[in-house]
Amino acid sequence: MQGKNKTLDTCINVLDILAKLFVILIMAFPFFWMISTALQTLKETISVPLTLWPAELQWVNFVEVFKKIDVLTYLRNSIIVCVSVVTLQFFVIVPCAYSLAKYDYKAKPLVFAMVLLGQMIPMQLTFLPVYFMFSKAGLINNYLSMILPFISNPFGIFMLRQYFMQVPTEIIEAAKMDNASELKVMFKIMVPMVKSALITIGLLSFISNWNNYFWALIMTNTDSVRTLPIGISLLKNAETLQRWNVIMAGNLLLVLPMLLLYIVASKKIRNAFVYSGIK
Amino acid sequence: MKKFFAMLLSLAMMTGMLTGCSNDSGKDQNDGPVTIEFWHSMGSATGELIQEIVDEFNASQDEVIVNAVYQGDYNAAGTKIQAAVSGGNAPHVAQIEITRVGYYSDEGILLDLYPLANADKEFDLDELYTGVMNFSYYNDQLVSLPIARSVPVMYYNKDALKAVGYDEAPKNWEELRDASDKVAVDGTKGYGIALGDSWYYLAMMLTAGGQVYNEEENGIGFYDESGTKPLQLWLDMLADESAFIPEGEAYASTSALRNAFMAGQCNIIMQSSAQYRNLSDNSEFEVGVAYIPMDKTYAAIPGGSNLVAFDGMTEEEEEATWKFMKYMVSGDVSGKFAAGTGYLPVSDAALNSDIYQAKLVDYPDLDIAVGQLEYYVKMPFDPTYVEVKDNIIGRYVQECIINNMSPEDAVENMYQEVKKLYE
Repeated sequence: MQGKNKTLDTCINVLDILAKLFVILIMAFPFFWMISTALQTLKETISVPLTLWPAELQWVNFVEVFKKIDVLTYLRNSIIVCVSVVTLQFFVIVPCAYSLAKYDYKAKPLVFAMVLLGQMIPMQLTFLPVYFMFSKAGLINNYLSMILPFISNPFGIFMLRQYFMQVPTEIIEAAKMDNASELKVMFKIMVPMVKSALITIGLLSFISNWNNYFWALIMTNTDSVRTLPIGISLLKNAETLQRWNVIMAGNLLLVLPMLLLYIVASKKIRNAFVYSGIK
Repeated sequence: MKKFFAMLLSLAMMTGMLTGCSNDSGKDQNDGPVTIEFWHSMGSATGELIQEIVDEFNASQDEVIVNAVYQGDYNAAGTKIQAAVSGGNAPHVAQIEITRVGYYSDEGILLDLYPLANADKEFDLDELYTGVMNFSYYNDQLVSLPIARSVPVMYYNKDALKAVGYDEAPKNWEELRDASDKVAVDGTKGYGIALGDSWYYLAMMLTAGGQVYNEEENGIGFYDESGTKPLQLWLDMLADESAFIPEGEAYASTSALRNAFMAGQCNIIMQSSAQYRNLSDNSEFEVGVAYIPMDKTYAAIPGGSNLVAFDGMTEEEEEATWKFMKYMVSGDVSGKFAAGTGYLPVSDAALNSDIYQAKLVDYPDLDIAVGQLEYYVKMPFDPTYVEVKDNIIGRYVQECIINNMSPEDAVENMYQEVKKLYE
């Protein structure tokens, strides 16, 4: 009996590993393809059969990207926009989620409904009214036009509310007994307890803003404020030959900060889970 | 450390706000040069060429300064222009894909260039080729001028076709079939079909004697043999394996077809005339260019993009805009743009410009597409055409070739659906 169970276990383990490898392959292959293409010659990118890995690594493709577009300006703009959005979001979503989780007030269902609606209505529907509003206020073509519309994050509020609801009300009451102000309760007691959630929300929001092409394109007209995705799209040709190797080198530059951030943050997420005291 | 990070964040934010505010686009001054905003859809090397041309224009005179801005591909730029026009932030000049010009014209937001062109003694509209003017006159207004125009042409592997006895390109469908048959050996194919873009179906249909729209301009003009024949030809050639469609996800992709051609997988393809230099530069063999083979007649269905200007500018801006647009279609500039990209020169002056003629030494077939312009066709010019071309015709061509709908049923469906749009 024991022996049979062991074989079964091994079988399941092998299957488990195979299944995971399969999923990893599906996820990782596009990345591999991007890296490989970024290092190929133009000939290699368009040859059939496809080139899996270049015969000689073409680092010059990256130099080409820097020659073609002003990477540093776009990068600076992207960082300014994303860091501002994520920081501002923090100050908007924490009080909102806190009030939804821990307080009862008349307008609460309305606020919650608005949050959910904000999550459900796609940007393609709202961009025109928002564009008009910004255009009337003279806020087109600057950083604000890319920051202000995103300082609320419905998904973040929703998720944070779930986390706040798990925090025992006793902790808040105890803090209030010690004369802690609302602000103090929020930022000094609640926030540290949901660190993992906040890092996850921040990361997701950073990524979606980092990749935001459509909004930045609609709102801006000058390279001095435009973000990296628009810069990279300049590497594409309209109707003639696509230099995929250079485009992919550009794309690699675009996702690199994301990957680094993820590597750094994934450690923090794990730590946060360990120390937060939340199951 | 944490505090430092927090401070850094808020600092980054503050600078963001401040620079953001100070970055409002410059307004025109009353005296001094007039600034013109020009939105285009040309990335990469073509975008650099546009910038170079604009820089030359700016340097050539001191009354107008053109600010060229890339606004994404035709689709993204189209969305952006719609928002900008309704928000009152329209640019002065924009590059628009030709089948969309009808939409903007119908909205009445385009500047009528005719009075400006007519009053200009140095400018003669008749010098521009008729074959590139089919999206320019709307309700007797001159709404656009040609800039990056193309027609589909046939590219063929000269070496491979010579080996099977075709010293010259196939001229008609019979020769196309015969040449494809003969050249399809050892796993290579003859004719590669780009199914994703209905442009090529329409090009073949026109050579079979059809028209894109009927006389009344309220339905398709190939509700007969001319509509079914190209589909039947493709089906027959696919059945006897002399033709092929690039495999997999790239079904819809014309770029997959180009790669297959450059790699020698197939020997005859139809593509935009703007692809000649690209194909020639990246193929190991000699690339030939020829007219789209005919069934009854040659034909050149237009493609590419035009320049438009938007209504509602001051008189000063209108003059500046006209000056710039006139410059863009002038012989030397159009010649330079055509030589640098493979787009069509828009006039004899452009064709005969030194820079274009010099390019012909390296790319001897560059001007073949220009000859095909002689067989220009009447094009539907209204807001509905984009939908007709992309959604209806394109869909049923694929239904027929991929999903076994009969050619007759496919054309019948196109006819019915287009008819509905005009009822």
